[in-house]
Amino acid sequence: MNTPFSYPARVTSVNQITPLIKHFSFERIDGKPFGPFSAGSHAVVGMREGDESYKNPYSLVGASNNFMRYEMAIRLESNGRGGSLFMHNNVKVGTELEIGNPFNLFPVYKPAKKHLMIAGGVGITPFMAYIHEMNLMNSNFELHYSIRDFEYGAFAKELQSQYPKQVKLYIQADDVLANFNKILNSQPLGTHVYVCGPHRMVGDLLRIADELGWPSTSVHSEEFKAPDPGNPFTVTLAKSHHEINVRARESLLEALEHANVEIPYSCRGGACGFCKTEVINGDIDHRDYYLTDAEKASGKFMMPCISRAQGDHLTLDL
Amino acid sequence: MTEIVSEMKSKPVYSPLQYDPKSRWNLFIGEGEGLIGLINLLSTSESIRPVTTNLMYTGSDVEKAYAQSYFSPSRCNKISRFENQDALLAELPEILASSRMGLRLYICGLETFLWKVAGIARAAGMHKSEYNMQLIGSKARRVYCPHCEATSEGVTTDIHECDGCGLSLINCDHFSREMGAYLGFRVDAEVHGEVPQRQELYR
Amino acid sequence: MTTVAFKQSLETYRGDFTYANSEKAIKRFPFPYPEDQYMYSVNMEYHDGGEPGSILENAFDIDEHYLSEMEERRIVLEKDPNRFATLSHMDLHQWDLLELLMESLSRDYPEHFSLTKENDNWVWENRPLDIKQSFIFGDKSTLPCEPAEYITRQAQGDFVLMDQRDDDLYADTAMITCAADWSVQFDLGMSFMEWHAPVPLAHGMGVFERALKYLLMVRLGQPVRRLNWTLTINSRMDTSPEVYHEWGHERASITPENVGQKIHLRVELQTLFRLPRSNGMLFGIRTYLISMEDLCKNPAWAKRMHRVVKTLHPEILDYKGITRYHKTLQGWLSQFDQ
Repeated sequence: MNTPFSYPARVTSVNQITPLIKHFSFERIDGKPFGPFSAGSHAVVGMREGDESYKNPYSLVGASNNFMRYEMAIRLESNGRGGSLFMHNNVKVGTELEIGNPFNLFPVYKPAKKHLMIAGGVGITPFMAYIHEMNLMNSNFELHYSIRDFEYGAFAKELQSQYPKQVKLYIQADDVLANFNKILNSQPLGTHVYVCGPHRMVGDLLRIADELGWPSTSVHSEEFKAPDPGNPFTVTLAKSHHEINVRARESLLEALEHANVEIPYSCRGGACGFCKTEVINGDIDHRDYYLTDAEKASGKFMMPCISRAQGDHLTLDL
Repeated sequence: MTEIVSEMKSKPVYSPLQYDPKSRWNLFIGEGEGLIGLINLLSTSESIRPVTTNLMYTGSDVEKAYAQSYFSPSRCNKISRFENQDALLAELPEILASSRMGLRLYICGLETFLWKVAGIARAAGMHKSEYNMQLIGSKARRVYCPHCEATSEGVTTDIHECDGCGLSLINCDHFSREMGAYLGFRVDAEVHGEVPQRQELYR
Repeated sequence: MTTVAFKQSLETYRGDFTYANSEKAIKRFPFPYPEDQYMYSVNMEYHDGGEPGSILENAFDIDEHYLSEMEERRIVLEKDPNRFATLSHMDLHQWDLLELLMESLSRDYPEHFSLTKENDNWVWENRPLDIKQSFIFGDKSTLPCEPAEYITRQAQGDFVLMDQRDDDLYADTAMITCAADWSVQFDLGMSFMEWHAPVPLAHGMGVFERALKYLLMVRLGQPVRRLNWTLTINSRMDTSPEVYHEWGHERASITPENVGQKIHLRVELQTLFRLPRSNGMLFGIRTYLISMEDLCKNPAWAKRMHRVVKTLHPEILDYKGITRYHKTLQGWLSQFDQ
């Protein structure tokens, strides 16, 4: 398995598009085009200033036909671990950072007869790229987008004016809420539903889809989960004989990276499987969505981006 | 799902139909003896909520009598009996076109019928997790000849003469869901005329 | 940037079989056995270059047989246009393939190919085949045929485009004119496990499960490759089931006198690329043929070939169609392993 390579890049524009969301454009420092990507892809932004460093995955927005730049719309998370705060406060036009090779955990299901997109808040971002693909393929689509109001709803006005038939907005401030039962109940065979947004909204949609008899193969979701903090612990790397301390608010993956131990990764949220690591010793606090129950029970594998030690020590096969 | 993996990973293996409790609408589709499989399913499936069930089938008067007695108005919304398979398969796309997500198909009959229905379901955008199938009756095979691109129906032996080009073909277990057929190839390609004794394996 | 000279008179891969490898082609032939015994494995590595002049140097290898192979493809498609097939949801994948091949070939063989782009207005030049094509990228009506068919008629090897969905890969588009005994018409639309179903032994070893898991995670810009092999009688490229009834008898024509000329080692360089817009995968199958006679000019290869053939598992012998002439071949090879 391979570590994604990343491109040294420069910020070429920053726009505050809602009170909480900034839109960033990046170009490669070597001047070459980034190249096309598939709708739903994410890329990891690597930022560093002094002692602070962050690696956060964000969806790529923007027409996937424009190759010179990558664009992202990033929400300021006040309860986050600092990455989005850094983006909002420290990253300006001209700032240099690293943009990772894109990977797609939320692709469009190509043979679907109809694509039903359900977005909430900043969850709109992957769908901006989706809509471009829908247009290219002349696909049948609908977008149901829940926003606080127009001021806080990124891209809402443009979407509504460009796609009046396909886009339905639900404005919380007007007490208009998306009724998932109603939306899902009337869809023809061959519809695939894609949901991206706040954790509870995604949970609700998945539950209702299941209750309404939608097969799981027709339901797709994306949530960017950041690792939760936990107890500090130490790690021994069996092969290199390193000892590493993992602090409370950093993930094991981050601790390894701070110690210059590079392992493969992609989503950094326990979903994609890239950072799967073998464990030689120690009890694991599994918090991921990738390993099978058997793998978790065996105690031989873990996902360092999100999982931690149950106790105070782990020995890894690194 | 009724498919289990066997020796040849592409070969379908059938088991009794299993009811999906999440289903909101059921469409039972059967031909000939396949009605038995649908009746068994009906009698074992417990709904946790009211579910609309419709039946489409072809069959003799005997099958008609069974259908009407088991698929009574309290268990089944609508029964449609068709003259023959072609008529049933011609009507199905329209029904699926006006159906909604939450539909499950339960299909029972001979192998080529099962996969013809599955093909229509797939063309309507359904995924294999949305339909269930069980083979009841003869295991006779449809065999695809790559040499002339014809298919032969009702093959019960391992070796047969291709309906299209007349070559002696041996059929293996490699199966195409799209065609509902097993792959055949010329059995005496290496030494012309050296055709082994055929065995009846798929009765 | 590579220069390659093509054989000017066309070689044939059928009928009189005039195909032959130059000394240079023999030297760069991809000998596929790392050990004296062969068994299936998930033997994948990154496809990121190789020795200059080798078949691994460039993303897609063009060699001295280019013109002959393209003519062979043309002949096969003329007799049987269904050797190119595609399902309707694969347009993005097709454009991805066209872009990948045009960019790779023009970058790596600028003597023969060039590509100029002005937004979506592209001009492609293939000088060896005397082609100059202006078209609009993304607009099928501006090409003479499907995009994948268009470009694969100009590149050596077979190509399968796979749609990635349901944690699986589906062979939904294919150009197959040099199949090692599998049928594109039959296998089109199959999932990874389904189309690999006929391969013996490997399933029990979990080879395909691991391979699929690995392939689902291949990243953009980080393609992978592996080698596969079989034996073919005569330098026949098209050993598909479609024409098996015509070539099958050649397996029974082997004598100790003709092993050297007739039996060919057939090696596939399989390359797997993540496709940018569709998120699908390209499975490239680049086929190399060499006669036993030419192969055994290399003493180390000859010795190893003998040992591999001698110890091949009977199920593999059977699956690769070697059984009938196995003893004769082994006997002939033993002279190199005294």
